[in-house]
Amino acid sequence: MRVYCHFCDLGQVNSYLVTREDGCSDALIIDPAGLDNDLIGIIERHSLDIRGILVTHSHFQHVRDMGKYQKIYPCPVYAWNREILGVETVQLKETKGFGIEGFKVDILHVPGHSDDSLVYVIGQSIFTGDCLQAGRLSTATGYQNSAILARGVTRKIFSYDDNHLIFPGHGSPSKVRIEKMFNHDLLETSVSQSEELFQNDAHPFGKA
Amino acid sequence: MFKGDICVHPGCKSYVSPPFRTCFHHSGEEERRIILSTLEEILSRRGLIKDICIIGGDFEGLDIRSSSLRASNFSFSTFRGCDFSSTSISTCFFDMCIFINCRFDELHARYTVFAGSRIRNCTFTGSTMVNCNFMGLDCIDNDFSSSDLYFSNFSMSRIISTRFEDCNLKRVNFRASAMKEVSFKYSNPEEAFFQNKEDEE
Repeated sequence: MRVYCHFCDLGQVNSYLVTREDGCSDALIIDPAGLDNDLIGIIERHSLDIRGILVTHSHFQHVRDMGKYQKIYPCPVYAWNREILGVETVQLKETKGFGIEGFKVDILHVPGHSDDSLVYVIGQSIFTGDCLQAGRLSTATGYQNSAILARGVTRKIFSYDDNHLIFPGHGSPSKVRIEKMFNHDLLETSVSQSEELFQNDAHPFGKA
Repeated sequence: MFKGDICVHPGCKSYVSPPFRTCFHHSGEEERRIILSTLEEILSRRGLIKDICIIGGDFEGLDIRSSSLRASNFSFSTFRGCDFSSTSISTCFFDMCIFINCRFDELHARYTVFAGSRIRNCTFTGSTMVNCNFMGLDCIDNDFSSSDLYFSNFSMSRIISTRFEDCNLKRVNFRASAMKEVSFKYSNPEEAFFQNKEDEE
């Protein structure tokens, strides 16, 4: 599997192009934030077939060019929500080893930043969207959402091996090991507090 | 592009240099020799270094000038007196490395990770390092002057006797970093983040 990182100036968002290595031209797009000549050049040069668009969450800056993608490379959109910008999606829920066009994807639901936040794990790469960025957690409204987010990241994303690569929706890439060591928000947030908050499993998204 | 094949050695999760199926650490002498000679051969013709994975390597006096590095992993390696000047680096991992007396002048780096590294007496002048990860650095006696560090992350670092003069620091993150004798002369530290969280997404 190969990952190409693409930076979109508008909103400073990262999009990712994921391809397979087995001579197959199938490819996935993670977050259709921007489609420019660079990205089209890579897709065309490698004769890639875009087989699906995976949306980490439906904030506008992460799905800004979804319509453009759909026009040039018609393919299904996968997301937590049923519909994004008027486009009907294939609804996803938390699953391990979900097959999307030949790619085996672990889908993690990590709410907090937004209710529809999904994290995709493909091979050794974790596409975290806005849940986890290098060195920080994303903004979440209120103490409860921050705690939900911290708990989701530590319990779900950090359950993967330390060498897994993290490709966030904004900023630089990272690794699970690096985030465990240097993520300031997680070191600052007392995880024990969030554990206390959820000790009765009384949070709105059910037991993880 | 980053390829993420992992070592077939039981219990090992390190990345491999294709076509080898074991990581550098678990490779035999012959395989290691082939990887290193391949690297040297590419460097000698200033070519494109791609998919090389050398974890825990030890390099001294390596000349990487004007080369291109893509999708490579050099975690836990040591670089002494190496020259990365005018090199183009994309989606590479140099996390937990040691850099001593290295030159990165006019480096062009994007989506590259130097997190947790120890950097001593190195120069990064005139470089473009966009979307790079320098978290948890132990950074002493270095010079980043005249560099574009847009969207790079230096949080949780220890930065001593280092110059960031005439740099673009827009959206650069220095949160929770301990700094001593750091100069931001002619730069725009007001556009960097030192304490508070960035703006809402």
